[in-house]
Amino acid sequence: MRRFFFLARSVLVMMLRDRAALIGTLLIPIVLLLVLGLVNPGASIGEVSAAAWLTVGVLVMGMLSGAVDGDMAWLTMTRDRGILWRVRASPLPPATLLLAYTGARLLVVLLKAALIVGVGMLVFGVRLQWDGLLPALGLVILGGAVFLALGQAVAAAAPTAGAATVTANLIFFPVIFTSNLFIAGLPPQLEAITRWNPAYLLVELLRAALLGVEPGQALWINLLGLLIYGLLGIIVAIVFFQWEPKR
Amino acid sequence: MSPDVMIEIRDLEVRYPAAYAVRGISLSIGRGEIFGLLGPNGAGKTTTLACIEGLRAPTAGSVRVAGFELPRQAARVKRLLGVQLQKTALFDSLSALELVRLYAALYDCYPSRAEAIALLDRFNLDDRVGARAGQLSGGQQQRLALALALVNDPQVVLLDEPGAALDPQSRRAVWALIREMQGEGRTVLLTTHSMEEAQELCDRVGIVDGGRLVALGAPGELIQRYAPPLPPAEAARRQPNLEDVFLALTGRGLAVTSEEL
Repeated sequence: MRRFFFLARSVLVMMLRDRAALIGTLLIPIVLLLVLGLVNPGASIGEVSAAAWLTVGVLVMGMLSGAVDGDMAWLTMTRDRGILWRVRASPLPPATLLLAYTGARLLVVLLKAALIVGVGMLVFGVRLQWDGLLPALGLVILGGAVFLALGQAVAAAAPTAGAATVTANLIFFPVIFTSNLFIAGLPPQLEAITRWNPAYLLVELLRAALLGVEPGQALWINLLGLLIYGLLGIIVAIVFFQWEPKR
Repeated sequence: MSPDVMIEIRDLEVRYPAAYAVRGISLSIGRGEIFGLLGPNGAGKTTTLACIEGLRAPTAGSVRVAGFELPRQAARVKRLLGVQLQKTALFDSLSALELVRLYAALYDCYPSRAEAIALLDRFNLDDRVGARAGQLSGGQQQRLALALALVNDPQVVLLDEPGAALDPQSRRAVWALIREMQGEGRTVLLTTHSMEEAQELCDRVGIVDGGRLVALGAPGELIQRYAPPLPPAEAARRQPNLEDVFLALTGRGLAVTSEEL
């Protein structure tokens, strides 16, 4: 256990020292929220304000982009630079390293979530359902872990860091723009498909918990869908895991 | 396996899809010995080391460290080994001190701040304790990598080209440190391209070429046995050395590595 906490703390120190990445991961979603929120400040979607609706959408986008830019990049960087290979020469079980990384990363995800929701509340007067905060906290942790697993799966399967970045972007942008993170009322034919994308599943759960928005399908289906994505991500990450870049 | 034998390799073979990296290497390395593995690029030195480190599984043959068999008992063997890889692998944003403590944690060791600084001091890095790895010079990074190989107080130290990319002063400082490791009773197995380094440091060397062990013995013995006669003009200037042996045994042409095949 001591080793786990020591590693997690070291990983967290590394993340906090990477100022450019940290500012990017925290600042970009907030700037996006401010810009989109100011487009039509008085609008509402159903019974909630558009700003509240967007705040949760931006939160999920921030979590997903963190998994793509941060987690996937970290694994490919440590692999390409031979750090994973060096770690393998030690008796450390690889799972301990990955779990320590996950723990540190989830702390950053929680910080990001608090900042985004805080800006939404302060700038746009977003009102939350206070009794939904605890379930939302659990969902942020679950969603962060699922996205992290998906990022690790892409990183594991891609032969090099360059290939991983291209693959991740090919997944990231369609997932973002075909979900209801920013756009309400997608065409029904599109929504029938995209409601199974992980960002859509998570945002529906979070909007239900934080804003009381009625989801398009039963919440347990969304939860199950997310868990399946997480499981698939873990399986792919384990099966295709590489200690060194492919030659 | 005799208790004085720390590393025992028998008929080791490693085959990659395109070619053999190692084919039939057998050797034993004694406790407290400095052993050098020499060979041209792609000869199989790093692959042999990787099998001892538990990083690669042999296609055939056996590897034992302190009586433990690899890869079956890799977890136990890894606790006994100090490792410096050919490519220095460090997290740039952590300081030298933080890296010592992090790498020690990989082995479930938790040195105090004073102990970690004392280790860096041995490698002349005491004035760079707080410097991040990315800010260190190439020589300092190499010395830090060597320090990290000792974080777990290993019985066997495996060094892949420890003197590579170092200026002559740093290289000699590293040699002194390797001798110190031997003085502490550790077994050192190193690979090198520097015949000077091998001749200066190693009790015995093994020369590998094309994945095979082509010569094994003390540098002096190998020079006596294999060094070709020098042309008279050259003989007047110098004694035969390990480089003459190396070139005589591995040829003067450029080596083709298994990666290039």
